[in-house]
Amino acid sequence: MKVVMDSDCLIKLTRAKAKEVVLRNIEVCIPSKVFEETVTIPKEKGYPDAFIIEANQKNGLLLIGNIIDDPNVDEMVKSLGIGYGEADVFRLFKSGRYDIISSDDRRFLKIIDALDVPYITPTALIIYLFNKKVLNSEEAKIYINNLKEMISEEEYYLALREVE
Amino acid sequence: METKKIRLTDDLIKGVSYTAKMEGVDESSALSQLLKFGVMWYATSLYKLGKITLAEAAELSNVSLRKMMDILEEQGIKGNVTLKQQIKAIDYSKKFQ
Repeated sequence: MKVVMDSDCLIKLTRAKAKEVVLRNIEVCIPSKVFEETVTIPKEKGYPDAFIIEANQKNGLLLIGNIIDDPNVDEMVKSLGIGYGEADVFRLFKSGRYDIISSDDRRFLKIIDALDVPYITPTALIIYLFNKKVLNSEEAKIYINNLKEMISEEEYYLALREVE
Repeated sequence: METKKIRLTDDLIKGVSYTAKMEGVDESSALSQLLKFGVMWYATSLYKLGKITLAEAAELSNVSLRKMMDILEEQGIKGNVTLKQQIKAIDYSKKFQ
């Protein structure tokens, strides 16, 4: 599975200490705007997660994808009112080299869902690894519990049920 | 910086005066501080309801996206993904096995 990830999802996985296992087993790519939102700007304020994400990019676990200019996609982005990192996540996905978008943002998910773009939440990534037998039930529960304080209750309880 | 003329009700004037006294600033600065808090509260409320994205909430609050995540957590807003969205996300996770 080839995933394009947004800033929200990447930061949450990092803080939940789940990013390494995700990056080692799933091909994850981000646009440079997401790198700016998760590394360049937070690093100036000393956020530890920014340094960890940067290390992943340097050792090749996290890829930065190039966006191909497409006036039709730009027009879609404009008419849908998508901005910031999400706009480039969408542009990167539309380049056709990826299977799914990973995000934890209700509004962004609502927009891409209306376009039939497949999406996956941070906890659904853990479920994916559990179903692929990369993680056992206990390990998956630990990661989901690490995410608990950063995700909605609906997301948390449904995820926990899936890995029991 | 722009100067705006606004009408304040008695209760708001009371709030501004109280803030000015507590913070040791003049009433104009107190009003600016309260407005900033108000805008941030409004941004977090819109995010919670899923009406704006995290990046939009950060822009509206004039903070970085990373800082916005901290603000949301401080206000007890964990995430805003709906049950329906999570069901669909799990379905997709199985589809790509």
